[in-house]
Amino acid sequence: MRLDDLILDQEDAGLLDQCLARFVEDTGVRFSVLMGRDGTAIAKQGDWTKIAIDSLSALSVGAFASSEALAHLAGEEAFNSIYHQGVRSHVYISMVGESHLLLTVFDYNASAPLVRLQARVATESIIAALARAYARTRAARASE
Amino acid sequence: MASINYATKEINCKLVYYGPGMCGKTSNLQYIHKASAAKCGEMVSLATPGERTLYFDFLPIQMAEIRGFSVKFGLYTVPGQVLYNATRKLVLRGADGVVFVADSQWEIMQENVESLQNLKDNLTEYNSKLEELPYVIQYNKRDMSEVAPVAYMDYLLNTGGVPAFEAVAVDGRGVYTTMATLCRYVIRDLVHRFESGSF
Repeated sequence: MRLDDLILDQEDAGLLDQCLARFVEDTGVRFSVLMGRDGTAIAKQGDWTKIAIDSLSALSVGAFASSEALAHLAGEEAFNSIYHQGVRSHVYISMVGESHLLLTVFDYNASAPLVRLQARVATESIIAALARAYARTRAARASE
Repeated sequence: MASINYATKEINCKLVYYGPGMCGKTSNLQYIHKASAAKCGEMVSLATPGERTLYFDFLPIQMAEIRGFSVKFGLYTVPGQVLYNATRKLVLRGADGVVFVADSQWEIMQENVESLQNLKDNLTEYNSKLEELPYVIQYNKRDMSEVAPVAYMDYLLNTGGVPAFEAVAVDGRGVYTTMATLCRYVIRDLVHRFESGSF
């Protein structure tokens, strides 16, 4: 198994969807996407249907990687999150463990501090769900 | 980082086009985008005003179904210019397959060799090796007047004997053969790892 390969069975995918759905519901954001650091969207919830999710994920990962390089230049280990404020829509991207990112797009229906707070809460449950998926995959491999 | 999602019946893979500056990496993606618009999503290019790749190009493309799963490839290019190595390293992260696009012109041979070495060095930082990845080579710009013979380019750049294709990316020649071969290799690698329990 390559370290960052990921297989999601129905249950894993369902757990991740639940985590995101709760986050979207609790905050009133438009949509949220969980993605790998390679730019692949893994789970998404909310009103994302008119959005090019693949492109959005690739660009988000790029933007976050740039911010990490900026952090290093500024003497920081990393920035845990980045926030882009627009006139109507805002984007918040935060780290989920070492290998994943959570992208959130929201408008006037949601408040930025609440989004930040709830993203931290959601991150904990997402990390647990991802750990379960990785552990199950490793266990399956060991039993081969 | 390939991902397989049983709930959405989707397989996602990442392919990276690597090579020296101006070798035609972006031209490959532009041709695929133009010729296969129905299968492609939106192409994203983060380029300078002079159309040099600043960060990366990205093109999502949907391939045929395999065993009931839809297979999506994210095609990325890296910026070829030497000073953008940090960016190249970031784009390379999680690659499931690599195309090394070499410029066939004699005067670019040194840059080809350096870029290939740079690819190996950057993969090493991710604890990965080129020999372990699905990997093909494209000898681009075969329409130029001063090009090196393929045998010589093989000698310089293809010591592993991987599939290598002649191409003129701006006209589409060799573009699909290169991509299709790599896609096949990536899927074969994925299936092999999956069936052997090593995914």
